[in-house]
Amino acid sequence: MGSHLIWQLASLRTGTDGWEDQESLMDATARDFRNASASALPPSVQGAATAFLSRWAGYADESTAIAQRFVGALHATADDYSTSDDAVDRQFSDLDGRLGPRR
Amino acid sequence: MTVTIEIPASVPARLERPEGDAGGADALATTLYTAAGRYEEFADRSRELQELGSWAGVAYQGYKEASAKASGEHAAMATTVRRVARGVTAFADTLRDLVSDHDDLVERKRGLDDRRAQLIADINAATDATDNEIAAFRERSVDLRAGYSDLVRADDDLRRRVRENETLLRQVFEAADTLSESLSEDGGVPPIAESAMNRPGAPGSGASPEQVRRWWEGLSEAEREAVIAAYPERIGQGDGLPADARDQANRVMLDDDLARLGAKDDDGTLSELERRILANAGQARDALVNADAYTDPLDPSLRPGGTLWLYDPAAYDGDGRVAVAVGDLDHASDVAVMTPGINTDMTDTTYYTDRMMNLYESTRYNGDGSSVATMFWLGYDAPHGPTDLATLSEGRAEEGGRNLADAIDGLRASRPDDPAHLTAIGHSYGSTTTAYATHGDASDVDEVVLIGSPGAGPAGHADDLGPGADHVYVGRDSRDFVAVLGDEGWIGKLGIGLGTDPSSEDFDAHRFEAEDVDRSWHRNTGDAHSSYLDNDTESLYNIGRIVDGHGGDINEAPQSYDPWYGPAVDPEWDRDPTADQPGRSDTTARR
Repeated sequence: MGSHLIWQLASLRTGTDGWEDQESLMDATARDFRNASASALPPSVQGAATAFLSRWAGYADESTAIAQRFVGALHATADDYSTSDDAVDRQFSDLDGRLGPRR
Repeated sequence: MTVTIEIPASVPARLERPEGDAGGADALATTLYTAAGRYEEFADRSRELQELGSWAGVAYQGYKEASAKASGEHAAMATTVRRVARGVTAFADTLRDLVSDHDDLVERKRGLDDRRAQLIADINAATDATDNEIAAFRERSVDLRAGYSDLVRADDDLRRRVRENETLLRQVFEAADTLSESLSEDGGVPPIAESAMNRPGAPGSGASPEQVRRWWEGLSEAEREAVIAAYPERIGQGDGLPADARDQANRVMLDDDLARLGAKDDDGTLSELERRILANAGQARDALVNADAYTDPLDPSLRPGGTLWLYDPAAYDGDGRVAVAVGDLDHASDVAVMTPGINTDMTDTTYYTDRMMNLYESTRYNGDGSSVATMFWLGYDAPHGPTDLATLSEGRAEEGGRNLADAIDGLRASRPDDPAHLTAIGHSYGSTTTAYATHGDASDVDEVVLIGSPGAGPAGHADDLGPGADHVYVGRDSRDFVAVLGDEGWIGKLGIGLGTDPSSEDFDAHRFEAEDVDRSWHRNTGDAHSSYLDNDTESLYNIGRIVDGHGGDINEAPQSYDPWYGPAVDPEWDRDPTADQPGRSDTTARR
């Protein structure tokens, strides 16, 4: 594996780590919304507050999924680059460029 | 003979306590601020993670476009949930006021009921009552009826405010409960706030302080609460608005910063700038705690209270802008605005708020009984110190002077019918800033006080300042190195100061005694330059007299002068300073 590709894969890994952190933050946010209670508010406000918390728990779930998809895509990208680099490496190592009887 | 005396009914039959728990609402707000911080982090991270080393090509373009979209949408979500959180904070603040008002009403009703019971008992005990006694019973009955009527009106008013507070919070939640609303520019803004803010004269629209005041006067109480909750940045900096409105808005922003950035700190996602903002917010919080707890020196039952008049902790790359007052800026008879000098940033907020308490106490303790408010104002980018090139020029002072003049215009405009006796005090570089602000007719102050001044900027003579030489005062400790930098005499000081030395004969202001008993034998930039607002000093005594409107009663000190045959002379050099001496340097009540 070439040094440039190694460096590039390390960058992709940095990105993956960042997105993984964000995924876990948004997961915690979704839980916070679900666990939050509107009971401290007056009854006339509780309905609107509960609807808000429920919808935003859903939005946070979506954000978690988005971060997760970035993680997956970056993982797949890194894997694809790595696999394709190995395959190309094999093709070139199988390719015998010599002339004459030594080939 | 039978006499009928009508006893009024005990009304209202029931005083309903406002529903809800402010502490629980604060906890809910904290959850929302935490979420806002995480949405912000999502937006920031999406943007930052767009650059991944040397990755290029079609796949990278696809990734970049996807993350850019995620960044923009999550930034919008952060703004919306932050607005909702602020709405909950404002609701909780108002709820506390409403519960306090309710408790007052309960106390009032208890008093009325006691008087009613006593009247009934007195009537029942009376036999062969005289005409005078009957008339007295009737008078007590009439008074009671009026008291109950007032109570009913107050209760009706309280119920209306409770309903409005609840309606506002409901609208805040409803303005952010669909995805399209949450992603829109005005997600979480209740319609009542938006329509109020779109009217001419709203702060932040380019309106003058007078127009802003008229706009505010045209709002209903519900609209005022709504704009404080939805637009605290604009209300908190709205020159011309009542200080109380600014304070409410700025406290909402403060709660936001403390909760949101505190949560980001816990998550480990705080940037360096945000770390500074959080530290600044902590200073503002601590300063307000001290100011709110402060008791008046003449009346320990009186708490003049703190006011967060300006709060902008991210300004000037995290140095911050802030103004904290001790006392009621909206009603105090005597108001002082103190501008600090070099090296001051928001991390000094508690220090200067403590000095404002000193000044409040000095003014009240030696004063004529008038009400007082004293404000520390850091609304400009003070140079960082001797190594900062900005210290050597008047540029920051000139810019700061414009800001200070705007602030003073704002204070004036907010009280058109009840103008305060207003004193502008500047320390060190802040004295040059104050001179710029009050130069000519630029601002409307009654007194100017320059302390530890390196020069009066554009003013060559005390008459060049707005209130005229009779109302311009100067304090200089003879050992204060900074305060001898200003020009005086025919040679001057090679231009190292920032204009004319205001304690000199050339400037001709009223110089007051300002020597410190702990002064050194040599000039320095330490205690000699930083003790002007310390308790039981000559300087603080005299400044208190000026703030109280009695500048004629200061203990004058001879001006410095620069004879042709030698260096400048300060006649105060050889005088023995005093401390805690009544009528001269006693500034504290014994409590």
